[in-house]
Amino acid sequence: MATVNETKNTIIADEQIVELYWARDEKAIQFTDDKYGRFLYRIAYNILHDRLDCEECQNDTYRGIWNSIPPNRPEVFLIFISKIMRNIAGMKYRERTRKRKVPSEMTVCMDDLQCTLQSNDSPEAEYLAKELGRHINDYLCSLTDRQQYIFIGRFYMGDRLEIIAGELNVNVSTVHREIEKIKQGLKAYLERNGVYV
Amino acid sequence: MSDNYLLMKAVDYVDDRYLGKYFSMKEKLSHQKIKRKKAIKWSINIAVCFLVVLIAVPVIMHFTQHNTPAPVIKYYDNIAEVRDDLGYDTLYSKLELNGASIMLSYKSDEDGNAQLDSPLQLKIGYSYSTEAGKDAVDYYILFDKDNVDDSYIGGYDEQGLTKIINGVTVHYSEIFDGSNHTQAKFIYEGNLYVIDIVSTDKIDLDHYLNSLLCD
Repeated sequence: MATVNETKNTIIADEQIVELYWARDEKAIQFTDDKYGRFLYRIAYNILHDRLDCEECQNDTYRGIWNSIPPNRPEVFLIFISKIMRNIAGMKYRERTRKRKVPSEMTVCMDDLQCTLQSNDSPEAEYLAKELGRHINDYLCSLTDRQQYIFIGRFYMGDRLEIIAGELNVNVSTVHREIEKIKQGLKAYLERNGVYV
Repeated sequence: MSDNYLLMKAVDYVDDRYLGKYFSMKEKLSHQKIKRKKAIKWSINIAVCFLVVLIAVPVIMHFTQHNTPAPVIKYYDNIAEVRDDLGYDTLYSKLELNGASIMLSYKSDEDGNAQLDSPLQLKIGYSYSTEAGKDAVDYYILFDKDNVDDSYIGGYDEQGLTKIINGVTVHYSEIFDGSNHTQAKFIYEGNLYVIDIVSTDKIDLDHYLNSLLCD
Protein backbone atom coordinates (compact mmCIF):
# COMPACT_ATOMS: atom_id res chain seq x y z
CA MET A 1 0.00 0.00 0.00
CA ALA A 2 1.45 3.38 -0.93
CA THR A 3 2.65 5.65 1.84
CA VAL A 4 1.15 9.09 2.47
CA ASN A 5 4.22 10.79 0.99
CA GLU A 6 3.95 8.80 -2.21
CA THR A 7 0.29 9.68 -2.68
CA LYS A 8 0.91 13.36 -1.99
CA ASN A 9 3.44 13.60 -4.82
CA THR A 10 1.11 12.00 -7.42
CA ILE A 11 -1.37 14.14 -9.35
CA ILE A 12 -4.12 11.72 -10.23
CA ALA A 13 -7.05 12.18 -12.61
CA ASP A 14 -10.59 12.11 -11.18
CA GLU A 15 -11.47 9.06 -13.31
CA GLN A 16 -8.63 7.14 -11.72
CA ILE A 17 -9.79 8.13 -8.23
CA VAL A 18 -13.29 6.82 -9.04
CA GLU A 19 -11.78 3.55 -10.27
CA LEU A 20 -9.92 3.20 -6.99
CA TYR A 21 -13.21 3.61 -5.11
CA TRP A 22 -14.72 0.91 -7.31
CA ALA A 23 -11.72 -1.30 -6.61
CA ARG A 24 -12.29 -0.61 -2.87
CA ASP A 25 -8.72 0.67 -2.64
CA GLU A 26 -8.34 2.94 0.40
CA LYS A 27 -5.77 5.02 -1.48
CA ALA A 28 -8.83 6.60 -3.12
CA ILE A 29 -9.65 8.46 0.09
CA GLN A 30 -6.07 9.72 0.44
CA PHE A 31 -6.02 10.91 -3.16
CA THR A 32 -9.38 12.64 -2.63
CA ASP A 33 -8.03 14.40 0.44
CA ASP A 34 -4.80 15.41 -1.33
CA LYS A 35 -6.59 16.84 -4.35
CA TYR A 36 -9.82 18.24 -2.89
CA GLY A 37 -9.35 18.35 0.86
CA ARG A 38 -8.92 22.11 1.04
CA PHE A 39 -11.78 22.68 -1.36
CA LEU A 40 -14.17 20.51 0.68
CA TYR A 41 -13.02 22.16 3.91
CA ARG A 42 -13.78 25.56 2.42
CA ILE A 43 -17.36 24.54 1.58
CA ALA A 44 -17.84 23.35 5.16
CA TYR A 45 -16.20 26.44 6.67
CA ASN A 46 -18.38 28.80 4.65
CA ILE A 47 -21.42 27.06 6.16
CA LEU A 48 -20.27 26.29 9.70
CA HIS A 49 -17.39 28.66 10.52
CA ASP A 50 -16.04 26.18 13.09
CA ARG A 51 -12.82 24.23 12.65
CA LEU A 52 -13.80 21.16 14.61
CA ASP A 53 -17.20 20.90 12.95
CA CYS A 54 -15.54 21.28 9.55
CA GLU A 55 -13.06 18.51 10.23
CA GLU A 56 -15.86 16.26 11.45
CA CYS A 57 -17.86 17.02 8.31
CA GLN A 58 -14.83 16.33 6.15
CA ASN A 59 -14.37 12.88 7.68
CA ASP A 60 -18.10 12.21 7.28
CA THR A 61 -17.85 13.30 3.66
CA TYR A 62 -15.05 10.83 2.92
CA ARG A 63 -17.13 8.10 4.56
CA GLY A 64 -20.12 9.23 2.50
CA ILE A 65 -18.09 9.09 -0.72
CA TRP A 66 -16.74 5.64 0.17
CA ASN A 67 -20.27 4.38 0.78
CA SER A 68 -21.62 5.98 -2.42
CA ILE A 69 -19.01 4.71 -4.88
CA PRO A 70 -20.01 2.10 -5.87
CA PRO A 71 -22.84 1.87 -6.82
CA ASN A 72 -22.50 5.37 -8.23
CA ARG A 73 -20.00 6.19 -10.92
CA PRO A 74 -20.11 10.01 -11.00
CA GLU A 75 -19.45 11.70 -14.32
CA VAL A 76 -17.99 14.75 -12.63
CA PHE A 77 -16.32 13.68 -9.39
CA LEU A 78 -15.91 17.24 -8.10
CA ILE A 79 -19.62 18.00 -8.32
CA PHE A 80 -20.47 14.68 -6.68
CA ILE A 81 -18.25 15.17 -3.65
CA SER A 82 -19.13 18.86 -3.25
CA LYS A 83 -22.80 17.91 -3.02
CA ILE A 84 -22.06 15.30 -0.38
CA MET A 85 -20.04 17.80 1.66
CA ARG A 86 -22.67 20.48 1.31
CA ASN A 87 -25.37 18.10 2.39
CA ILE A 88 -23.45 16.93 5.46
CA ALA A 89 -22.40 20.45 6.39
CA GLY A 90 -25.98 21.60 5.88
CA MET A 91 -27.30 18.99 8.32
CA LYS A 92 -24.71 20.03 10.88
CA TYR A 93 -25.74 23.66 10.25
CA ARG A 94 -29.41 22.78 10.91
CA GLU A 95 -28.42 21.02 14.11
CA ARG A 96 -26.50 24.05 15.33
CA THR A 97 -29.08 26.63 14.32
CA ARG A 98 -31.60 24.86 16.50
CA LYS A 99 -29.44 25.96 19.43
CA ARG A 100 -28.17 29.29 18.19
CA LYS A 101 -27.46 31.35 15.07
CA VAL A 102 -24.35 30.19 13.24
CA PRO A 103 -21.98 33.10 12.47
CA SER A 104 -20.95 31.88 9.04
CA GLU A 105 -20.90 33.32 5.56
CA MET A 106 -23.74 30.94 4.61
CA THR A 107 -25.93 32.51 7.30
CA VAL A 108 -25.25 35.90 5.75
CA CYS A 109 -26.10 34.77 2.23
CA MET A 110 -29.20 32.86 3.27
CA ASP A 111 -30.41 35.84 5.33
CA ASP A 112 -29.70 37.91 2.25
CA LEU A 113 -31.70 35.60 -0.01
CA GLN A 114 -34.51 35.33 2.49
CA CYS A 115 -35.30 38.97 1.90
CA THR A 116 -36.27 37.82 -1.57
CA LEU A 117 -38.64 35.03 -0.65
CA GLN A 118 -40.66 33.80 2.27
CA SER A 119 -42.08 30.40 3.01
CA ASN A 120 -44.68 28.96 5.28
CA ASP A 121 -43.95 26.14 7.65
CA SER A 122 -44.91 22.77 6.15
CA PRO A 123 -44.44 19.17 7.19
CA GLU A 124 -43.52 18.41 3.60
CA ALA A 125 -40.31 20.43 3.96
CA GLU A 126 -38.16 18.21 1.78
CA TYR A 127 -40.73 18.40 -1.04
CA LEU A 128 -40.89 22.16 -0.63
CA ALA A 129 -37.12 22.46 -0.86
CA LYS A 130 -37.13 20.34 -4.02
CA GLU A 131 -39.85 22.45 -5.62
CA LEU A 132 -38.06 25.62 -4.73
CA GLY A 133 -34.88 24.13 -6.13
CA ARG A 134 -36.65 23.42 -9.41
CA HIS A 135 -37.74 27.03 -9.67
CA ILE A 136 -34.21 28.21 -8.90
CA ASN A 137 -32.89 25.98 -11.69
CA ASP A 138 -35.42 27.40 -14.14
CA TYR A 139 -34.44 30.90 -13.11
CA LEU A 140 -30.71 30.15 -13.45
CA CYS A 141 -31.39 29.15 -17.05
CA SER A 142 -32.31 32.78 -17.81
CA LEU A 143 -29.06 34.17 -16.38
CA THR A 144 -25.76 34.78 -18.19
CA ASP A 145 -22.79 32.49 -17.51
CA ARG A 146 -21.24 35.17 -15.35
CA GLN A 147 -24.41 35.65 -13.31
CA GLN A 148 -24.74 31.88 -12.86
CA TYR A 149 -21.13 31.83 -11.67
CA ILE A 150 -21.83 34.55 -9.13
CA PHE A 151 -25.02 32.81 -7.92
CA ILE A 152 -23.30 29.44 -7.44
CA GLY A 153 -20.26 31.06 -5.86
CA ARG A 154 -22.34 33.06 -3.40
CA PHE A 155 -25.34 30.85 -2.57
CA TYR A 156 -24.04 27.35 -3.18
CA MET A 157 -20.36 27.67 -2.22
CA GLY A 158 -21.00 30.45 0.34
CA ASP A 159 -17.96 32.46 -0.81
CA ARG A 160 -17.43 36.01 0.41
CA LEU A 161 -17.94 38.83 -2.08
CA GLU A 162 -14.21 39.60 -1.97
CA ILE A 163 -13.37 36.06 -3.10
CA ILE A 164 -15.81 36.20 -6.02
CA ALA A 165 -14.61 39.69 -6.99
CA GLY A 166 -11.00 38.50 -6.94
CA GLU A 167 -11.81 35.54 -9.17
CA LEU A 168 -13.65 37.72 -11.69
CA ASN A 169 -11.05 40.50 -11.43
CA VAL A 170 -13.68 43.13 -10.63
CA ASN A 171 -14.53 45.39 -7.68
CA VAL A 172 -16.51 44.07 -4.72
CA SER A 173 -19.14 46.72 -5.43
CA THR A 174 -19.61 45.28 -8.92
CA VAL A 175 -20.29 41.81 -7.51
CA HIS A 176 -22.64 43.32 -4.93
CA ARG A 177 -24.63 45.06 -7.65
CA GLU A 178 -24.83 41.86 -9.70
CA ILE A 179 -26.12 39.90 -6.70
CA GLU A 180 -28.79 42.52 -6.00
CA LYS A 181 -29.87 42.27 -9.62
CA ILE A 182 -30.00 38.46 -9.42
CA LYS A 183 -32.03 38.58 -6.22
CA GLN A 184 -34.55 41.02 -7.66
CA GLY A 185 -34.82 38.88 -10.76
CA LEU A 186 -35.39 35.71 -8.68
CA LYS A 187 -38.08 37.42 -6.63
CA ALA A 188 -39.91 38.57 -9.74
CA TYR A 189 -39.61 35.08 -11.28
CA LEU A 190 -41.00 33.36 -8.19
CA GLU A 191 -43.90 35.81 -7.93
CA ARG A 192 -44.79 35.23 -11.59
CA ASN A 193 -44.80 31.47 -10.94
CA GLY A 194 -46.99 31.62 -7.87
CA VAL A 195 -44.39 30.70 -5.29
CA TYR A 196 -45.77 31.92 -2.01
CA VAL A 197 -44.38 35.29 -1.15
CA MET B 1 -37.61 23.55 8.74
CA SER B 2 -36.11 27.00 9.30
CA ASP B 3 -36.19 29.39 6.38
CA ASN B 4 -32.42 29.41 6.09
CA TYR B 5 -32.22 25.64 6.06
CA LEU B 6 -35.05 25.44 3.50
CA LEU B 7 -33.14 27.76 1.25
CA MET B 8 -29.93 25.81 1.72
CA LYS B 9 -31.73 22.61 0.81
CA ALA B 10 -33.33 24.27 -2.20
CA VAL B 11 -29.96 25.46 -3.47
CA ASP B 12 -28.74 21.89 -2.97
CA TYR B 13 -31.00 20.97 -5.88
CA VAL B 14 -29.11 23.24 -8.30
CA ASP B 15 -28.61 21.23 -11.44
CA ASP B 16 -25.28 19.55 -12.04
CA ARG B 17 -24.86 21.36 -15.37
CA TYR B 18 -24.69 24.71 -13.55
CA LEU B 19 -22.21 23.31 -11.06
CA GLY B 20 -20.18 21.89 -13.96
CA LYS B 21 -20.15 25.27 -15.69
CA TYR B 22 -19.15 26.91 -12.41
CA PHE B 23 -16.14 24.64 -11.87
CA SER B 24 -15.04 24.94 -15.52
CA MET B 25 -15.25 28.71 -15.38
CA LYS B 26 -13.44 28.73 -12.04
CA GLU B 27 -10.52 26.83 -13.57
CA LYS B 28 -10.47 29.13 -16.60
CA LEU B 29 -10.49 32.25 -14.39
CA SER B 30 -7.68 30.77 -12.31
CA HIS B 31 -5.52 30.30 -15.44
CA GLN B 32 -6.33 33.84 -16.56
CA LYS B 33 -5.28 35.16 -13.18
CA ILE B 34 -1.96 33.29 -13.41
CA LYS B 35 -1.43 34.69 -16.93
CA ARG B 36 -2.21 38.22 -15.70
CA LYS B 37 0.25 37.85 -12.83
CA LYS B 38 2.92 36.54 -15.23
CA ALA B 39 2.26 39.42 -17.63
CA ILE B 40 2.57 41.94 -14.80
CA LYS B 41 5.75 40.24 -13.58
CA TRP B 42 7.25 40.34 -17.10
CA SER B 43 6.24 43.96 -17.54
CA ILE B 44 7.95 44.86 -14.28
CA ASN B 45 11.05 42.87 -15.26
CA ILE B 46 11.22 44.59 -18.65
CA ALA B 47 10.69 48.00 -17.06
CA VAL B 48 13.46 47.30 -14.52
CA CYS B 49 15.84 46.14 -17.29
CA PHE B 50 15.04 49.26 -19.29
CA LEU B 51 15.67 51.42 -16.23
CA VAL B 52 18.97 49.67 -15.52
CA VAL B 53 20.12 50.24 -19.11
CA LEU B 54 18.95 53.84 -18.97
CA ILE B 55 21.02 54.44 -15.84
CA ALA B 56 23.95 52.14 -16.55
CA VAL B 57 24.81 53.37 -20.05
CA PRO B 58 25.61 56.97 -19.06
CA VAL B 59 27.46 55.72 -15.95
CA ILE B 60 29.55 53.29 -17.99
CA MET B 61 30.20 55.95 -20.61
CA HIS B 62 31.31 58.33 -17.88
CA PHE B 63 33.84 55.88 -16.50
CA THR B 64 35.12 54.84 -19.88
CA GLN B 65 35.76 58.33 -21.14
CA HIS B 66 39.49 57.67 -20.80
CA ASN B 67 39.13 55.11 -23.50
CA THR B 68 38.46 57.87 -25.98
CA PRO B 69 41.32 58.24 -28.50
CA ALA B 70 44.62 59.00 -26.70
CA PRO B 71 46.08 62.46 -27.20
CA VAL B 72 48.90 62.88 -29.66
CA ILE B 73 52.16 64.47 -28.48
CA LYS B 74 54.23 66.59 -30.76
CA TYR B 75 57.82 67.62 -29.96
CA TYR B 76 59.25 70.96 -30.96
CA ASP B 77 62.77 72.36 -31.23
CA ASN B 78 61.83 75.91 -30.40
CA ILE B 79 58.92 78.02 -29.24
CA ALA B 80 58.46 79.58 -32.69
CA GLU B 81 57.34 76.20 -34.07
CA VAL B 82 54.76 76.03 -31.30
CA ARG B 83 53.45 79.43 -32.32
CA ASP B 84 53.22 78.25 -35.92
CA ASP B 85 51.07 75.26 -35.00
CA LEU B 86 48.91 77.08 -32.48
CA GLY B 87 48.50 80.11 -34.71
CA TYR B 88 49.11 82.59 -31.90
CA ASP B 89 51.76 83.68 -29.39
CA THR B 90 51.72 82.48 -25.83
CA LEU B 91 53.42 84.23 -22.92
CA TYR B 92 56.29 81.78 -23.34
CA SER B 93 57.03 83.26 -26.78
CA LYS B 94 58.87 86.02 -24.87
CA LEU B 95 61.38 83.64 -23.36
CA GLU B 96 64.73 82.59 -24.65
CA LEU B 97 64.42 78.83 -24.48
CA ASN B 98 67.18 77.52 -26.71
CA GLY B 99 67.65 73.84 -26.14
CA ALA B 100 64.53 73.51 -24.08
CA SER B 101 62.52 70.32 -24.09
CA ILE B 102 59.19 71.30 -25.66
CA MET B 103 56.19 68.99 -26.07
CA LEU B 104 52.56 69.77 -26.82
CA SER B 105 49.67 67.29 -26.65
CA TYR B 106 46.67 67.54 -28.92
CA LYS B 107 43.37 65.72 -29.21
CA SER B 108 43.60 63.06 -31.83
CA ASP B 109 41.19 62.32 -34.67
CA GLU B 110 39.87 58.88 -35.61
CA ASP B 111 43.04 58.15 -37.54
CA GLY B 112 45.26 59.07 -34.60
CA ASN B 113 46.45 62.36 -36.07
CA ALA B 114 46.87 65.49 -33.97
CA GLN B 115 44.05 68.01 -34.19
CA LEU B 116 46.04 71.24 -34.18
CA ASP B 117 42.94 73.28 -33.36
CA SER B 118 42.50 71.23 -30.14
CA PRO B 119 45.67 71.63 -28.03
CA LEU B 120 45.51 70.09 -24.58
CA GLN B 121 48.76 70.82 -22.73
CA LEU B 122 52.10 72.42 -23.42
CA LYS B 123 55.16 71.59 -21.35
CA ILE B 124 58.53 73.28 -21.63
CA GLY B 125 61.38 72.07 -19.47
CA TYR B 126 64.39 74.33 -19.02
CA SER B 127 67.30 74.67 -16.62
CA TYR B 128 68.65 78.02 -15.52
CA SER B 129 71.99 78.60 -13.85
CA THR B 130 71.84 81.13 -11.06
CA GLU B 131 74.48 82.73 -8.91
CA ALA B 132 73.94 80.17 -6.18
CA GLY B 133 72.90 77.10 -8.06
CA LYS B 134 70.47 75.82 -10.62
CA ASP B 135 66.73 76.23 -11.21
CA ALA B 136 64.89 73.47 -13.04
CA VAL B 137 61.73 75.05 -14.43
CA ASP B 138 58.74 73.39 -16.04
CA TYR B 139 56.50 75.81 -17.89
CA TYR B 140 52.98 74.53 -18.57
CA ILE B 141 49.92 75.74 -20.43
CA LEU B 142 46.67 73.85 -19.87
CA PHE B 143 44.49 75.07 -22.72
CA ASP B 144 40.88 76.16 -22.38
CA LYS B 145 40.76 76.37 -18.62
CA ASP B 146 39.02 79.12 -16.73
CA ASN B 147 39.86 78.09 -13.17
CA VAL B 148 43.24 77.74 -11.45
CA ASP B 149 41.88 74.71 -9.58
CA ASP B 150 41.80 72.79 -12.85
CA SER B 151 45.55 72.26 -12.51
CA TYR B 152 46.61 68.82 -11.36
CA ILE B 153 50.31 69.53 -11.44
CA GLY B 154 52.09 69.49 -8.11
CA GLY B 155 50.18 67.17 -5.82
CA TYR B 156 50.59 69.25 -2.68
CA ASP B 157 48.21 71.26 -0.57
CA GLU B 158 47.41 74.73 -1.79
CA GLN B 159 48.64 77.40 0.57
CA GLY B 160 46.22 80.07 -0.57
CA LEU B 161 48.99 82.59 -1.34
CA THR B 162 48.36 85.11 -4.11
CA LYS B 163 49.96 88.11 -5.65
CA ILE B 164 48.84 90.42 -8.39
CA ILE B 165 51.23 91.18 -11.19
CA ASN B 166 50.19 93.54 -13.93
CA GLY B 167 46.51 92.90 -13.15
CA VAL B 168 46.86 89.15 -13.19
CA THR B 169 46.16 87.21 -9.97
CA VAL B 170 48.82 84.60 -9.42
CA HIS B 171 48.25 81.78 -6.98
CA TYR B 172 51.41 80.21 -5.59
CA SER B 173 52.73 77.80 -3.04
CA GLU B 174 56.18 77.41 -1.50
CA ILE B 175 57.28 73.96 -0.43
CA PHE B 176 60.42 72.98 1.41
CA ASP B 177 60.75 69.21 1.02
CA GLY B 178 64.51 68.89 1.05
CA SER B 179 64.76 71.02 -2.01
CA ASN B 180 63.24 74.37 -2.74
CA HIS B 181 60.04 73.94 -4.64
CA THR B 182 57.59 76.56 -5.78
CA GLN B 183 54.58 76.41 -8.05
CA ALA B 184 52.66 79.34 -9.38
CA LYS B 185 49.58 79.43 -11.62
CA PHE B 186 47.28 81.96 -13.19
CA ILE B 187 44.66 82.32 -15.86
CA TYR B 188 45.63 84.32 -18.93
CA GLU B 189 43.54 84.74 -22.08
CA GLY B 190 41.47 81.62 -21.39
CA ASN B 191 44.38 79.32 -20.64
CA LEU B 192 45.90 78.12 -17.35
CA TYR B 193 49.60 78.80 -16.96
CA VAL B 194 51.57 76.80 -14.40
CA ILE B 195 55.21 77.39 -13.53
CA ASP B 196 56.85 74.72 -11.44
CA ILE B 197 60.34 75.48 -10.10
CA VAL B 198 62.73 73.25 -8.22
CA SER B 199 66.01 74.83 -7.13
CA THR B 200 69.12 74.08 -5.16
CA ASP B 201 68.86 77.58 -3.73
CA LYS B 202 66.23 80.09 -2.78
CA ILE B 203 63.75 80.65 -5.63
CA ASP B 204 63.14 84.11 -6.97
CA LEU B 205 59.57 83.55 -8.14
CA ASP B 206 58.99 87.18 -8.97
CA HIS B 207 61.78 87.06 -11.54
CA TYR B 208 60.00 84.33 -13.48
CA LEU B 209 56.56 85.86 -13.16
CA ASN B 210 57.73 89.30 -14.19
CA SER B 211 59.44 87.88 -17.26
CA LEU B 212 56.07 86.57 -18.39
CA LEU B 213 53.57 89.15 -17.20
CA CYS B 214 55.50 92.36 -17.48
CA ASP B 215 56.53 94.04 -20.71
